[in-house]
Amino acid sequence: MLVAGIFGMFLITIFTKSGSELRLNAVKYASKWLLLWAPISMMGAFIYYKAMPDAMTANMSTAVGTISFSQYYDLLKYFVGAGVGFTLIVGILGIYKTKVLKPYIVIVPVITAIAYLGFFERVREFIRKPYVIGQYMYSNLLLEDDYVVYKQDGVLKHATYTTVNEITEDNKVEAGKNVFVIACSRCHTSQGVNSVVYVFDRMYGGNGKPLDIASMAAYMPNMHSGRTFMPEFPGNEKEAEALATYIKYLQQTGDVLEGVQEEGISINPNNTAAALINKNK
Amino acid sequence: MIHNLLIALQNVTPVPKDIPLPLPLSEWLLVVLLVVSFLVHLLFVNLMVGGSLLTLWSQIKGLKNKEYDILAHEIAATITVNKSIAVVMGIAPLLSINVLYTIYFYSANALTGLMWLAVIPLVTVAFLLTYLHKYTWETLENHKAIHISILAVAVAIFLFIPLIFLTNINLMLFPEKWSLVKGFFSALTLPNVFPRYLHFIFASLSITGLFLHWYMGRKNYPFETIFPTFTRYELKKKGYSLALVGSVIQFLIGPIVLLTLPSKGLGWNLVFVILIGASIALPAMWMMWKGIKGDETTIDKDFKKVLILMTITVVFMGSGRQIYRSNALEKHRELVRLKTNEFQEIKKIAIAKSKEAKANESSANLSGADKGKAVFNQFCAACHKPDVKLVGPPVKEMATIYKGNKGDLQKWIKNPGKKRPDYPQMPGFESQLSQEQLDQLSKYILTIK
Repeated sequence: MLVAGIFGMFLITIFTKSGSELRLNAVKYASKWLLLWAPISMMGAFIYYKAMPDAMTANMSTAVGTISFSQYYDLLKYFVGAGVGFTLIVGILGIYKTKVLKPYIVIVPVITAIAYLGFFERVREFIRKPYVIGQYMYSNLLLEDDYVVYKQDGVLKHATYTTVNEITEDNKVEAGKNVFVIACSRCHTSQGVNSVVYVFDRMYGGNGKPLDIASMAAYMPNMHSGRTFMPEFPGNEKEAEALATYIKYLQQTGDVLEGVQEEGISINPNNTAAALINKNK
Repeated sequence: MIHNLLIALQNVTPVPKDIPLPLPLSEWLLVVLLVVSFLVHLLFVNLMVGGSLLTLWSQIKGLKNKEYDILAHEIAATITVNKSIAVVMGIAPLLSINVLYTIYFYSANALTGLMWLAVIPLVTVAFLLTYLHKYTWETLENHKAIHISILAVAVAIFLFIPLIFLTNINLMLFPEKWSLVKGFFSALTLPNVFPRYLHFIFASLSITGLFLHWYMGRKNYPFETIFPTFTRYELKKKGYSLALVGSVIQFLIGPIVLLTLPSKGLGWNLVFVILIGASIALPAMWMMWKGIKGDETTIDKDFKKVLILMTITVVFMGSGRQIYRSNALEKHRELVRLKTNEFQEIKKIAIAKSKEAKANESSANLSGADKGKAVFNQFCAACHKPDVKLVGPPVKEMATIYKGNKGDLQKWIKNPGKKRPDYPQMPGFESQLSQEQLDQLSKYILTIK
């Protein structure tokens, strides 16, 4: 409502003649609208902020950007304050000094109000993590309930699509690639935005040194305890090691993982119609 | 040999497990919602595509005959409206098919990835172009080539987008093809995509013809002030002719669509429904023919009957589409159910096992420091080692810094600051650790050897 009001006022100041009767009346109406909604919007933001479960509020620092943002914990409040504050000022100006309002003045609260909206959207998207459906489905699209099976048998054994379902000494990179596709690729790329190589390198100092497979493999099973926005690693120890091997391979070779729309899929022999029918003979 | 081929086929058919949740509504209700809401959506898509094709044709013809330019202008005004309704009405069928055929629809979407996502930018561009075209009629009066090109690009996009939808809705029916498909273009070449596409295009023209008949005949439409020479009768006749020609062509394409359908979903129930639907269209076509052959006084006579009959035909065809889908996926859905149940059984056993293991673990009597070590391993070991720097500093360094200062150590763990510029920020553990765990942990850290 706030954004609609301020954007509407912006359009009014652009498309009506300065000083005309129409302009004065329209700006006054828009101002009243803003003064009505600004406090309500503020209250809404406050209630929303308070209503977020504790664990999710703890995620707020990451919601805002990255984990190093934690010192900017209050940033959201300032954005809300600025968005609502500027709009309030314009609303009051609009009633008492209607003629002062020109497009270049109104554009300022338009931008802050949209930033406030965008900021909240980002937060709203992020506070769900590590879930995509709260307490049910993790953001890697695996069900929380199913983890007990994956930890026992590994994710590859039960995956519908994988080229490897049994890890050996020789197929670690290939196995790790499949683990990556299943457990990480919903959020992480191989080399692009938020790439898995980048996040590990940043964590270990950000100097591009060769990643250490043993450290990464040891980190994965407990990563969710420190990084609460990450789902728990679903696989077993062997898979963590294979994944770490693959991540190092990505770092060393610059190899890029193509999506299924390029490469197609390979079916896990455990999960074909034939396998199922044979088992249930 | 045939036996081996069958086995090979079985080996390329994946059986994913489904999400073990009941449907939010009864299945029959969702199916009815899907069929009905899809037909409503499709009606407006037809009017949008058919309308833009007709506008383009009419505007090109209008270069020589001004009267057609006016006609183009009039139809153009309906495209953006029909487009908006088409989009809004697309939500219900999209959600319904997602809920009813989750793994099938999502799998097809993933397999055509980029092109599926491209629907959004393509639709956005095409829509903006139709607005641009509609509102620059006067501005570009003397630049007809540019003005017509704007519409031509929009039409090209409109003609392409249905191919993406058809490819996906076709691909989802054939799990046995999923592992053979490499992206959109290979999925496009599966049998039946193009016949269905042509079927759609001619349906669009046919329905737009009927729309034209109605639109030009409306009582409150100031026809005579808009068109200097065209009469209502002429345009109604043109509308009927388009609808009739489109319908006749449907009778030629329809059998091809039916014959190119992979046999696995082709049951008598489907053939029966399609034939009834087609036979109901016949009297409607006869009435249109009579309307065209007749004169000004008789052209409106059977229009309502034509609409009713055609609507019934469309409902039969839409139901046929659902019957084929249901037939085609019946066996595979049975396998998926089997797989889903099988996994639930595996899960039950795994849960029992892990409970047992946990019970054994907790019955083992841990000393205070051991408990601290367990907390450390779960929450800290990923980044801290006893002797060397991993992500954060070694534990022994902490022990030196916080010697005899349990309180500050715990404060730091709960809400860490940042002291070392070359180390990443440590996350806080206030919400994850209880005071008891913090005590055990700080004891472990401060007494490490």
